[in-house]
Amino acid sequence: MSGGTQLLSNPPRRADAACIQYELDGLWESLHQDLSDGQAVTRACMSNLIIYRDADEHSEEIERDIPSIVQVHPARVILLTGQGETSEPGIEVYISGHYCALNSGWQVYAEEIRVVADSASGRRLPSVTRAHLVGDLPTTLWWTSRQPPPFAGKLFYKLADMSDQIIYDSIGWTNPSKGMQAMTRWVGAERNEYIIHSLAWRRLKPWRSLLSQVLDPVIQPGALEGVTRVTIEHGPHALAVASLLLGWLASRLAWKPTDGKVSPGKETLWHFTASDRQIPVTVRRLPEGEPAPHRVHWHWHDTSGEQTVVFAVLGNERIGILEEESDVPVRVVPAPELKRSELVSAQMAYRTRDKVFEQALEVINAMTSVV
Amino acid sequence: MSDSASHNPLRTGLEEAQVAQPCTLVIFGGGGDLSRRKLLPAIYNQVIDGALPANFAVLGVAREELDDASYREFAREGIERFSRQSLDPRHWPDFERVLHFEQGAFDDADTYARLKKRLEEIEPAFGIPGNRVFYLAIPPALIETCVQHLNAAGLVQPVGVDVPFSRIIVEKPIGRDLQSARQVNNILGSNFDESQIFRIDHYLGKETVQNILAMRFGNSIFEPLWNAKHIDHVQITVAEEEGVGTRAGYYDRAGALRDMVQNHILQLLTLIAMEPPWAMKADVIRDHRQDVLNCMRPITPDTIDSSVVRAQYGPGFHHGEDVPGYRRESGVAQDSTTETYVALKVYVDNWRWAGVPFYIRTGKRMPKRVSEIAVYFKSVPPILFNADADHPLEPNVLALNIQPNEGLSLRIATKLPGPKVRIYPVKMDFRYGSTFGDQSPEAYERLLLDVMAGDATLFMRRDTVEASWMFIEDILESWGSSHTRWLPEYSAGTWGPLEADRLIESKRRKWRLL
Repeated sequence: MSGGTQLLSNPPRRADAACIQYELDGLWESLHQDLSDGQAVTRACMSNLIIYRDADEHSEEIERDIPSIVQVHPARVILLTGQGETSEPGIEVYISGHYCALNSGWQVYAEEIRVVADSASGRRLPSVTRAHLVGDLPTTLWWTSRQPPPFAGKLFYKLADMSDQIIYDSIGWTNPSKGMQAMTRWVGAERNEYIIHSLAWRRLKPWRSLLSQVLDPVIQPGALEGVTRVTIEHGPHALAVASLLLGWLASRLAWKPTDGKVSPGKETLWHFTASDRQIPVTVRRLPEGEPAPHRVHWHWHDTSGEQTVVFAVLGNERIGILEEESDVPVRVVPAPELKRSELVSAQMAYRTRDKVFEQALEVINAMTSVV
Repeated sequence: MSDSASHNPLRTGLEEAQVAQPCTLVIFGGGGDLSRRKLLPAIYNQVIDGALPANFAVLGVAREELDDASYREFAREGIERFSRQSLDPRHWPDFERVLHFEQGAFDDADTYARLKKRLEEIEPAFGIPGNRVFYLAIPPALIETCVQHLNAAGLVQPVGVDVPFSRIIVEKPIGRDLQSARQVNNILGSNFDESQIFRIDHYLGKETVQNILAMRFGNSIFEPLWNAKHIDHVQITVAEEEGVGTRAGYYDRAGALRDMVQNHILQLLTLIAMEPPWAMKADVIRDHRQDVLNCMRPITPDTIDSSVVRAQYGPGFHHGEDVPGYRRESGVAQDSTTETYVALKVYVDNWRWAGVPFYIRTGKRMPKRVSEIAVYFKSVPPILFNADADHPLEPNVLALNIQPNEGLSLRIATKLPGPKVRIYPVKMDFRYGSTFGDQSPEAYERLLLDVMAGDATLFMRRDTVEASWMFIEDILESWGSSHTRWLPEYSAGTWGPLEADRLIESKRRKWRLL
């Protein structure tokens, strides 16, 4: 938190769906009245953030993420809950504010509108959303449902049409393998319509940075051109993330997938070709651990023979780099594990298409056709 | 390696504005205050944020009798006290391993021979391909010795494709007048290529200073008004709360004009006054900044009295406590005529700024620490709401706050609610710290990263340093020939002498109350 400022939140207050703006104004007014020194309340707002969530045991985690997101990226938040419990049939609305105490008054970071729809009223959510987006500001849709966007139907598309970018996360999908396939095809087909970002992709950034640094042709001549095999080991529920890492490597290094053999629950052995060479890549699931990549073994051949560098998660948010057959001792670098809220707020600042991500998905799409 | 390193397809699309290259950072004066307070904490923060390469090491060089272990302790103490992010015990053991120390005198050739040997041990151990950044955190008088020994020891690689890079960072002040600045630049230039030299001015690494370009050229509403037709005047204030403190030895030879105006303030002025650059490239931006310096109207003996005010702080109060006047400070001569305050009225004689005065003031022992640039727009015509000549409307002011509260504010006129037409000024405020919850990196963090990436945009080129000295030299010469035995005084804890008020007071202009 910057400058020791503390973010405070109003408890959600029930509001009439037809009077949301009026109620929000009242909330703002009450902050003015709390001030004794005549200072004005200022409102900071950089974006609209629409969040869609399922009503399930994880839905409260999203609520806890919101203050952290708006503290970094002030936004009007519209939190939509589908298939939720309401006291009466239809939709229910709650409003709240997240604000910060400064010496010179209150700084309102964000207004939050929560809309809960029962199972018959999900189709009403877009109309409430549309009426309360702040004009002249970009809009982000953060899709947190366990249903990947392509399986979500009309509701997703209506919300997506209001948005400048869509953020999704493959962690937690009910069927990640199927979801990944559907998603890669869907992104390929829709990328001219929507700007799409994955939190899994952002989580991989420390890995992408580190691999690009350590395997740089200047640091390790021949490590990229002379690669002979690669092994990626990942924890449970991280197949999508590991596939994304492999898709990125393959797309950047112009590897073409030729076949893949799946040993369910254990590993997949892929074969790629690059400049007439075969490159086997094993993606192996470890029996336990965090849902993330754990180790990457990179083997290559140069004039002095077979070389290997291993990147391994060491715990305490660190990655170790070990060069086998070399005098260089193990180097350890920090690899901060960003919280989900940090990933979302960081992603909201990038609103253009990420072609490298899209190309990684294209390769994954090609991989699914040869398996 | 060199800036034109071999193509690495894995780098494509990574978001960093620039990628720091693997290197060893050699800090001459590594056991000093700058290193402890700024450089080592900056390096620590960058490592923790994952901005520095895995193949990276630090080697401190200094006279202090330290070794690797005690240097790591020295760094730890500095990081615990001064770092933006608190020291994380999980990462400390890995971090401290990159820190090394070599004891030696800067004028002893053996020091450089040992330094070379040490680098040859460190580089393979960290997988560093011979790239070296030499940071001279040393007194200006030692620059020549240090640079010549570095070259003589074979530690400076010429610029080339696919060869390791050698870069050197030099702290201000570069010289104490035009002649000595040229001498320093000649020494640097005869041992390093200009592209290898990074003259650091930490003001240029501040977020708000960088935001000047974004504000001017990323918005369409300011630039059409950014000229003599719409702007009445500009005020640049860099106020320091502290007195001369422990820097009396240096400061009494320098003074406010050399210490602040020649570097920080003229750099701020160039960013405010420059023409739109045609690309975000280091030399394009530096060319445009240089153009402003080239257009600055010289201050001659004929105009100095109406353009410059210098003064010294006398005794007064600092937060209610008695503080001595400058001449009573420890280490300051009782008959010193060094200015602790200077105010200037300067002009940029080009089409855009013709006739617009830039008022500059900087001083020590002022009421608070604040740096700000305020752009005063011209008043609306004296009709309608501005028809009452006795109560003219306040003009619009765009203020860019550099420190401590980085941000900007805009003063506009608005109607007070009610049946009567009453116009009142209101201020719209934007603060980085409270709008973006993220902590901004410290200036040194950004600038060190830029050097490792080879981006010189925020550093001063040789011609810039010399042009700013040329402008200052006219004033120094006039002062030198005046043989003044005393300077006007202002009480410590006030905004400067009355003479400075007279400099600006005309056409309803006055210094801003900050």
